[in-house]
Amino acid sequence: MKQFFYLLISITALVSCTLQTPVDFSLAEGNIEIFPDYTNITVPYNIVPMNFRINEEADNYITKISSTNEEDIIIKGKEVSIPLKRWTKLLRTNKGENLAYDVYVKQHGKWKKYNFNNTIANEPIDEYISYRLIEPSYKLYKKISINQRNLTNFNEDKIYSSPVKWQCVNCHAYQDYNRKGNMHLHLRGNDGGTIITYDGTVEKINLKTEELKKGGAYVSWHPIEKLIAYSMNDIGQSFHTKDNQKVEVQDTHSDLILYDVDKNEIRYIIESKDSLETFPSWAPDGKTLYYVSATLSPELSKAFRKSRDGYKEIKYSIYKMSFNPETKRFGEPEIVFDAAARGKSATFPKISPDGKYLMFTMAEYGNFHIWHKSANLYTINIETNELDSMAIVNSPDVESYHSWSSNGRWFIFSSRRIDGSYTRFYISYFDKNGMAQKPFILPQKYSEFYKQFLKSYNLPEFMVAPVNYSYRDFAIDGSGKRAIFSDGE
Amino acid sequence: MGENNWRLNTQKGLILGYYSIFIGLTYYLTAVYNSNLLLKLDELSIFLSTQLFLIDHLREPAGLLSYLGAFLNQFFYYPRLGSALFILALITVQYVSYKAFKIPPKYYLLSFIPPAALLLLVTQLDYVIYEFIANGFAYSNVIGVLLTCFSLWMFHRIKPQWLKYVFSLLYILVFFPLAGFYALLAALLFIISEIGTFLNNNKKRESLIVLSLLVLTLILVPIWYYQKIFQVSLKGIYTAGLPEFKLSKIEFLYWLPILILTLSFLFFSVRSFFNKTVLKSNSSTYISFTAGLVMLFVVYRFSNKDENFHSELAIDQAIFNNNWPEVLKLERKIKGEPSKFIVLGTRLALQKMHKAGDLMFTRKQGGKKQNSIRELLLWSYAAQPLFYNYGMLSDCYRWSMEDMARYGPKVQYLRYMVKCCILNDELILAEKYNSLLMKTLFHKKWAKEYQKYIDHPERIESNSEFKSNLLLYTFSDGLVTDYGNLDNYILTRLASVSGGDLKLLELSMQSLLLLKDKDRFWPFFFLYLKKHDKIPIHYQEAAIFFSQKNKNIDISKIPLDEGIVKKFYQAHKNIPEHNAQEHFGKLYGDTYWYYLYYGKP
Repeated sequence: MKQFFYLLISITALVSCTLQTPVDFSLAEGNIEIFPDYTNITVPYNIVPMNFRINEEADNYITKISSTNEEDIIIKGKEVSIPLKRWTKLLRTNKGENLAYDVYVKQHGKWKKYNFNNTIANEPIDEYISYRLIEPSYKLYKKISINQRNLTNFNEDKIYSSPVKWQCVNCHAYQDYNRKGNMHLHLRGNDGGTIITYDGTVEKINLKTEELKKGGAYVSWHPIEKLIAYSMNDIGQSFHTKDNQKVEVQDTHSDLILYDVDKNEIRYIIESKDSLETFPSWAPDGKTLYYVSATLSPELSKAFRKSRDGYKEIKYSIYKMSFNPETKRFGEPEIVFDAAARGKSATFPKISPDGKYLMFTMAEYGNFHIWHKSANLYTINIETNELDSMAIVNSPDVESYHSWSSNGRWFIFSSRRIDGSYTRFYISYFDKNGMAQKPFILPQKYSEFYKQFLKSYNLPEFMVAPVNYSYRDFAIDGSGKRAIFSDGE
Repeated sequence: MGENNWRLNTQKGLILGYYSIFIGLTYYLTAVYNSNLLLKLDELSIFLSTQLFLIDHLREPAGLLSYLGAFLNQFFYYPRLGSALFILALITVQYVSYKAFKIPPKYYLLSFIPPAALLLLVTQLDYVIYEFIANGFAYSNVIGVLLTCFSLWMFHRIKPQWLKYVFSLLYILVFFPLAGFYALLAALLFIISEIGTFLNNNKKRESLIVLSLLVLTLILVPIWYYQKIFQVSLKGIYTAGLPEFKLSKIEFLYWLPILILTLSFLFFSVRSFFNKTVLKSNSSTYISFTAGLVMLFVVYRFSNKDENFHSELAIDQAIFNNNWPEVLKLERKIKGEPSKFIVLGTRLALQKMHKAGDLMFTRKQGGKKQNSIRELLLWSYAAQPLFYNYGMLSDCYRWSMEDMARYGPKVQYLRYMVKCCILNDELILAEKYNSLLMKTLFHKKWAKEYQKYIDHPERIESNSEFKSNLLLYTFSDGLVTDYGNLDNYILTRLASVSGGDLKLLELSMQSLLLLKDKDRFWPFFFLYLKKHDKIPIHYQEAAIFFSQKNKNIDISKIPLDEGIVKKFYQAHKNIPEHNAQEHFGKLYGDTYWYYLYYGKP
């Protein structure tokens, strides 16, 4: 038995040492088709192995991955499953270098070679992301979870999931990339409330007061202060009887509110009847609050409530308000990007960490762009006001929620481009000149993962540190401490 | 000697006879009486031969049971084969119970109680099947029981006391996440067995320590998994691996088989404490035989024999196979009041066969309440077949997705999603769902067939089912919210159609008849006259009746059947003051007029 074991090890070692690329081959015409498409991209040097499958039918396959320094990685087979340690070493010792892929396929006894190149960026990506996993569903749910994933390996764990108390979980958000473990999470349904962790404490807050019956919805942590901006939305959902965009979600009323974690106090930022404000987002310096707003005439509001008519007339533009962290006072709203004037509707304004770029999602109408095929990502150079339609990033299908990495060199976004239904995360390099590069899908251990996985990836958020709380810390009974309404005086 | 032989032979004969009865009854209650239930159990589960499928299952508490259960459950695709396999599994349960609990031969038949309980667990099923999340319902408990028995058998074979404890500890640690409740049950049986040792042991102190440690382990290990590993409720952690029935008074009956099973195991375990023979061998044999018969009676008595439930399952199969004459045949067989789904399914069949205009008001009307411990809304089990066949493809897809979000991916949802996506020109999405079906053992064949349409969408036109449903999908897009009952929702949607294919417009007119909307009936009726030579009976009945209510409508030039006109006037003459409905129903129960007066949409 022992002898057999040693023999097996020796053979394995021999095979792995002697695996070499073919000497006799021809150069293939065209590009090799692989899934996921990891060709001609820029990758962070601390990213997990980017395993893929070669789509071309052949009798044999050999893939060589090489760069300037370190040993080449040679893998046999249609499934290119890259060893983590060797990949990590290869990338970390070749920052800023080219990463070459030679893919040999053997057909009818002859080898042919394809090749493509990636670039290893000098800048790392934040080690963690968190997101929600949910079916591309309509109304009903059972198992939803907020997960976190380490981008330097394949480790993934659940931060909180619905079966703990059979709740809906959403709107996970962090202060300053979770540097200090300050986190936010909405729990809906049974024992619903808002979980806020701060300085090591976990509290459940009931953001609904007599004056603010809807409570907080879309969320943004102030990057420095113990303040959280929310939108407060009266949300309606309806379903297309034919259109592939399947679901339409509209607000019939929305305002912005501010929650003071220290004082447990909540107050209006904007209260209005004829406009819909939503998706608050703090600038990295915490001195400006961005958001989007749409005009809602009384007639449209009436038609809207009655029969959902006119939903295509609702167009959001991007606004901002200055904020004084000392007095906690906001300035007057200023328009930043008038999407409505262009006949479009913009959402999710997010400022890059260096404060130079504004990224947002824009589609034909409404604010629930995750179901709008026309939704694409755009950036505006804050200094020059130049709009970039990011052609290399967008697809004919949906691009929606997005998040900047803490160093601003990467952004992650959700897209339905693979099959039109299941949202997947794509990561793209954003260089110092504000140019985005071809995005790549979040790597998974199994190349077939995305084809088989029946949940959507929702709301990606970068984090520099993982959430270290146990899910039990969040399973607090009752609806939580009731926030106190303040009229702001 | 002779008497002993006679007794042994009698005992053997009884046992063989009982085996025959048990196997016969199981076969009858599965492959014969419940063949459609077996098919549905297969459709509401899935087994994929992929690594991800295994990983997904092992991430859940007791995931190994549902994984293995799902594997065996798929054989219900062929009800007879599935039934044979199920019988084999139950006989294995019986035999290992006999061995693990060291049941004396004279009580041999008592070893049939666990498999009989497991049989009842399946045959008692009603509408609750539509709400199972875990895959492989029928088998996951069988595997759990087998695991329990094998573990106990192993435990008995371990001699050193310390090794027994180590085994128990490791057993709970390793098997609790894989088998949930059944690992705990096995641990509980270890403890009971140890109590027996304790009672007959001189080293009471040592035994007591071991026992206490075992009890602590039994309590603490699940809590540890609850705190650290599995994100479920506390109730959920202790009941992992058990059927997904609610722990409530209302659903108590569902738990009966599990209760019988657990109690029988506990009884078998404590029986060894009282090993002295009190009864004569003959008496024990008869007691054992009687207990066996009582158990079979319990299985039969508590098995679900609801006519409508079984007819619905059969009709659902016929609808999926586009076997419309079969739907009508099944409906005709129903003796009592039909359920709403049967009424709707029959109407759909008549509409598909273009006979609704003549026959839709001649069939039994009704809406008998579900005879089910857990009552479900019609949306939960009838939405997909009805929406799909009425060409409401977005709705069908939506409800497949809603179900998938609640109960996980299952064959039934995936098949409807494949069909809807093909017709909705979402071919990549169709391929995604179809590729999963390709990874099943038996539904692969279906998937291969539908892959042809994904690869060659131009072939859609050559498929009569696709073609017919696409014609009904010619309405324009709109936004809807959920409202009312499923049947009302479908009727209202169809009635609101203002344009599209002629077949869709006829469906719309029929919906208006059902909604008793006399004003909107006329434009559809006149359009129908223009395009057709023959006017179906119910349309004539409606035209005659509605024209009486609206004198502006002139039907004198319409070639109505004189017999129907005459019948109308006869029907409205001499209506008795009392029992008018009965009288009218007896003579004109098969007319639209009866529906107008007494029917409900």
